[in-house]
Amino acid sequence: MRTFRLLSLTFALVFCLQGYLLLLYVLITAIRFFLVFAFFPCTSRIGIGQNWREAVFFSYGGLRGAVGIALALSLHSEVMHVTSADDVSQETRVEYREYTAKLFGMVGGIALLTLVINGSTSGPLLRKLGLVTPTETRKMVVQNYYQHSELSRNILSVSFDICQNLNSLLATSAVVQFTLKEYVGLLTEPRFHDVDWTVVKEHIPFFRDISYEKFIAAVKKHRESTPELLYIKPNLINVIPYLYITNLGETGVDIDIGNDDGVTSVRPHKRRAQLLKSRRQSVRDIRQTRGDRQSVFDICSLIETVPQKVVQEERLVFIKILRSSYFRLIEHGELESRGFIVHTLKKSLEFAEDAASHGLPLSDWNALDVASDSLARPAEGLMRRLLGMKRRIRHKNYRDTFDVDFFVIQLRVRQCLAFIHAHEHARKLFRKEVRALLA
Amino acid sequence: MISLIFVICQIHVSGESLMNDGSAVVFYNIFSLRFLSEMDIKGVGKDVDWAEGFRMFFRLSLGGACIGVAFGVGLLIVLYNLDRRLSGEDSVVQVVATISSAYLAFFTSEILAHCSGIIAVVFCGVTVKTLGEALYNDIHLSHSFWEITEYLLNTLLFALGGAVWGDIISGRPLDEYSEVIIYPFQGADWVS
Repeated sequence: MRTFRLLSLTFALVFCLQGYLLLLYVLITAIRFFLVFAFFPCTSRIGIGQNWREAVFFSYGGLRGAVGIALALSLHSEVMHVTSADDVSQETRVEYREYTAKLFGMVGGIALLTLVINGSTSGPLLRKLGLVTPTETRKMVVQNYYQHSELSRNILSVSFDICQNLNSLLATSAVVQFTLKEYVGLLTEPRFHDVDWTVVKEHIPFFRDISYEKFIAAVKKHRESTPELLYIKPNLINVIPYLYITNLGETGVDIDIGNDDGVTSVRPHKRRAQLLKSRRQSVRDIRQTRGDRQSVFDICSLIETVPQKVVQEERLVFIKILRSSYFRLIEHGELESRGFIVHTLKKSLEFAEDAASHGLPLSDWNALDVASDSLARPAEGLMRRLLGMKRRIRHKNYRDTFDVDFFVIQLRVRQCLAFIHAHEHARKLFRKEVRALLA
Repeated sequence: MISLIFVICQIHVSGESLMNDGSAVVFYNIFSLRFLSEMDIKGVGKDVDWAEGFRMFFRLSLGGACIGVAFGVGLLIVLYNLDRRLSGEDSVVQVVATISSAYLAFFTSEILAHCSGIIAVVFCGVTVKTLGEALYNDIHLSHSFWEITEYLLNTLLFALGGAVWGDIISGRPLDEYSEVIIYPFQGADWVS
C-alpha cells in the first residue's frame, strides 16, 4: 500500500513537472531556431558559408548536456551543503532547496528530452535534409577519375607509345599505370605466383577494364625501371589468359609469358594417394620438429673465439630490427595483426632476445618452434576432443568438414612465409647498418 | 566543485563551443553569488549589483585568459624539452604534463586568483593547440588518452546527474540531508 502511494505521488510529481518541462523544451528549441536564423545573414557569408539546411540542423541538433548538468549539480550541492548548517531556519532551508531542486529538475529534464528526442531523430533529419549524401563536387571528382582512366584505355588500344606521353599528363591514369606496375612487380615474387587475376580484378575497380596491351605495357615499364641484374621475370601465367586482346593483329609485342618451369614445379602431377601420403608425412614432420626448449637455450654451443660483447650487442640489434620488420609485415597487410601466427612470432622474438642477452647465439627459428608448440599442442588436443564429441553426438550422418591436418599445414606455411620475409628484410637492413658503421 | 572539474576536462578536450561554455560558466559564477546572497546566511554569497557584476565579469574572463596563456606557454616549454622521440617514457610524460597543467591552471585561476578556472583551461588548451602540435612525440597517445578521459567523465557526470535527477523527481522531502547522493560533491569544502 505504501509503495503504491509513493508510486502515485511520484507519477503526479513527474506529470506536474512535465507540463512545464515540455513547455520549456518547446521554448528552448524555438529560441534556438530564432537565434540561428537571426544570425543567418551573417553566418551564410563568413567562413565556408552556411546554407539553410545546415542552419536548420544546427538549430535542431543543439544538444544540451554536460555543462548545464554540471553547473546545476554544483549549485544544488552547494545550496544543500550551505543550508545544512544548524543556524539556518527550516523555512529558508526548504525554500532554497526547492529552488535548486526545481532548477536541476528542469536542466536534467531538458538534457533527457534533447537526448531522447533530438538525439534519436537527428539521423533521419540529416538524411531528409540531404546533408549526408555526397555533394555534386564529390561525385564529379569520382566521375572525372573514371573518365580519365577510360580515356587513357581507349588511347592505349590504338598505340601505347603515344599514351605513355599522355599518361604523364593525365595524373589519374598514371595512378592506374602505377598500380599495374606495382602488381607486375609483385608477380615476380614466387609467393604471389598463384594469385588469381580474376579475383584481384573483382576487388580493384580500375583493374576491371585492363586490356592485354595495357598490361604488356606495364610489364615493359617494369622491365625498364628495374636494374638489369635485379630483374626477375614476372609470372604471367595466371593473368594473360584472362585478358581480352582488343585487336589480334597488332599485338606485336614479343614478351614471354612467364617462367614455365616454375609453374610446373608449383603443381607437380602426382596421384592422389601419393599426395595424401606426402601430406601426412609433412604433418608428422611439423609435429615432430616442434618444441625443444634445449635448442633455444643451448649453453654448449657457445663459441669462445669471437668477441662476445660485440656479437651479443649485434644480436640484440638484429632482433630489434626483426621485430620492426614483423610490424612492417603487419602494416602492409601481409600478416594478420591478431591471431596465432603473430602471437608465436612475437613470442619467439622474446625467447630469442632472452637467449641473446645471455650471450647465446641467435636461434629464433627454434624459438618459433617452441613458441608454437606451447600453444599449438593444447589447442590441437582441444580441437580433436571437441571434434570427437561432435562425432559421437551425431555419429550417423556426420561429415568431417574441419580438417585438422590442413589447419596444421596452413599455419606452418604462413608462419614460414612471414618468418622468411621478415628475415630477408631484416638482413638487408642490418647489412646496410653495419656497412654504414664500418664505412 | 568536482563537477566543475568534469567541465574542464570536457572543455579541454572537445574544443567546440569553447567560448560558449566558458562564458556560461562566468555568468553562472556571477549570478549564483547573487542567488546565494539572498538566503541571508553569513559568509555565503555576495550581493552583486550592476557595477560589481561588470567588474567581476572582466576580472573572471580576462584574468582567467591571462593565467591560461601563461600556463600554456609553460606547458609548451615542458613539451619542447621532452624531445626523445623514440623512448616511450617521454611521450607518457608529455601526456602527464598536459593533464597536470590543465588542473594547475584551473586551481591557480579559480582558487588562488579568484578568476575563472574554466577560461584559464580553455586558453591554456588553445595556446598549446596553436603552437605545440608539432611538439608531441606521439600525438595519437595524447588524443586517445583525452578521448577516453572525456568519455569516462561524461559517463560519470551523466550517471551522477541522472541519480540526483531521479532523487529530485521522486519527490523526497528536501529538508532531510540526502547523504548518499550529495556525498560526491563534498569537495565544495576546499573551495571556500
